[in-house]
Amino acid sequence: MRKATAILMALVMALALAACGGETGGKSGGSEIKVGLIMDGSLGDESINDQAYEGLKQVEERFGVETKYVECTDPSMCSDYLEGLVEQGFNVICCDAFNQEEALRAFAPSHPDVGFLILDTEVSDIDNVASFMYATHECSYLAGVAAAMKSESKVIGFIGGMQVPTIEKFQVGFEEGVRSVAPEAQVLVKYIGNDNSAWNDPATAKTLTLDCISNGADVCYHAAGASGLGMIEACADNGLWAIGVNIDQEHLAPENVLTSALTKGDRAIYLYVESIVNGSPMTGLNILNCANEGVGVVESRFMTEDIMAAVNEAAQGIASGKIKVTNVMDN
Amino acid sequence: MSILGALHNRRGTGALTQAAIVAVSFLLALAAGGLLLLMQGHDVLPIYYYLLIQPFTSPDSLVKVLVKATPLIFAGLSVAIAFKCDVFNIGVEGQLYAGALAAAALGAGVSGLPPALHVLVCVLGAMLTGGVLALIPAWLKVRFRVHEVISTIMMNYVINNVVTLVIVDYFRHSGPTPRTPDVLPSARMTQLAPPSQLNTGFLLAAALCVVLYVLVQRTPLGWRIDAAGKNLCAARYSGINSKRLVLTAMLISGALAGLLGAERVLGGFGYLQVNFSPGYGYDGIAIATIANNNPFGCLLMALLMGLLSYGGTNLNIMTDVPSEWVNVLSALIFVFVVAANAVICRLPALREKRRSMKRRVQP
Repeated sequence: MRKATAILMALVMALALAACGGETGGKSGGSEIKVGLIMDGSLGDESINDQAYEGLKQVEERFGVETKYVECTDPSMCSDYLEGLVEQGFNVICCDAFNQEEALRAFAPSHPDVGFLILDTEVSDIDNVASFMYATHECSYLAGVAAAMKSESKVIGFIGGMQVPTIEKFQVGFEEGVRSVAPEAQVLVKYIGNDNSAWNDPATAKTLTLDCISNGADVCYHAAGASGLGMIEACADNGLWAIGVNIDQEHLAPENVLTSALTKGDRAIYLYVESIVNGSPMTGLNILNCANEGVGVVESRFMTEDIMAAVNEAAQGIASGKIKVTNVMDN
Repeated sequence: MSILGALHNRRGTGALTQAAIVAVSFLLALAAGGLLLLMQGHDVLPIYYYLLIQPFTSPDSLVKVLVKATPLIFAGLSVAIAFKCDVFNIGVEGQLYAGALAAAALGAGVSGLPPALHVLVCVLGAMLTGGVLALIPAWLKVRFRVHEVISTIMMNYVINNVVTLVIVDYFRHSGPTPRTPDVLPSARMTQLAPPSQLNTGFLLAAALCVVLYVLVQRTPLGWRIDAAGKNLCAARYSGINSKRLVLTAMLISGALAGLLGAERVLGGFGYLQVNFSPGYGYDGIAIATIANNNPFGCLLMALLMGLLSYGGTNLNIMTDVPSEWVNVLSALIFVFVVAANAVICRLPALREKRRSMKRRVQP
């Protein structure tokens, strides 16, 4: 009896599905721009994916283009998503993380009529791919300006993940920002570790931050990925200021996050789609910096008018070339 | 009844009954999943069309389903053979990374072999690595009664981190992605439908289903494994060396997990990437459970999971449904099957109870 019911139900279901198959025809294509975003992971990560999604919404609003995002949770499926979006008529495709590079490199050359964007890595040898990297020393400089002005003790902490050039770039930019406001200020620099676990070790970050605090630091900045949560926690526990990184990290400690040094992936998507709308697509390696508003700091409610004025002045100075921030990776 | 007992379905329903249970569970899951979609204001029928029907409309997408299914077949078989012997191998996820590393090392490091032999060397190396690593928790189990659920889970972390360490620090291809260098062309499994990843690994997986079926159903070793799995004490009293059986079953299970890794490296990617597995080992548990440890059931379930996996990609591209919804759907199938098995296992006891109640009522 049960078997018969099961078979019957299966048949009904199959028929219903087959019947609905006909009406799902594709939308008409054409030359209009359709922007697809392939996320590395899922929406709601409060990080790069949410930021890229913001960018997607911005271009939809500003240029009236059709957009769509897909969540690539399995790295081996990235090429399927690339293929699927192109088959669907998407002609601008944004990849929001460096680990999609391999799939993109294999796919892009055979689709010259589609424009591709990839964030946070360098792809400069394929004509229809524009890659974007961040001038992290510049936003760190701005964070340094804000930190030095907010600090009363003029002792400021910096927590880095691993001591590698990409992170030293944050550190040196930050130190220069601090010194531009308060030459006498002291920046305490701490690195978490020498292996990959340094990016995911909030406990050590917290200990190091407490160490900075006991040495008088009252503002701390981090470039340590998920470990940075420990620094923010330590600052919040002691009622001191924390500065977040990459995205606006205010929600992690609403009363204690002074600002965040932003690397704006959303801005990259905006700039790239704008260049396509204008008929001159970007290509090669592009740097997101103060000049194109690709990096910056959050104007939070704790950033008083004089701090904002100093930060804006510094940003303009960097953009116009009047202020030179050392990029350790140039040497 | 313990959770493991419920998962494991020791009494073993017949293949046909199990197939019916799975079919009904699948339909119930579709109905429940459809309800979820309706609650979110989605149109249900097009979504099921893209998930279940559209993949069959072109050879290209069919091939992709097979690509997704290939590692899942190995994973299902690997867990199933251990389950048969009443051992819960959650360590497939780690063993497959170890096997993948062995395959990548032999594939890139050994040169001068003819293609077929080179592939064979890599595959055997991967199977040996996976098998030996599975023997550790098995030995701990028979020697010190360390529960394999704990030891295999812990070993997953250890193995995965060691493999990552080796790739990142010692065996890294120069490039942004943390991965090993490409294996030599002679170590690649034959590609069946380039540019997709479909390779001879799929045929191997399908053939292994037959091999394992014969092993379990038609050989003395299989019979002993089955007996030990059904009732360890009874098996021991009848003169079966159950300790050696546990070791054997885990060795086979680990070797199959290693084979999964080898297929991904030699057939799929051509190199080993850090964290490439989206949880094949854990999917394998679901597959083996739903398939009631039947090798052919594992094949079918892996194909279904492959279909859902590819259909999920499809859904993501064609509609606004988040890809997580597909995970909900496969979890629902799992829950319904396990629940049905648990109920069926209790049926005889319930019937007995009712009969004795009646007897008491009627004088």
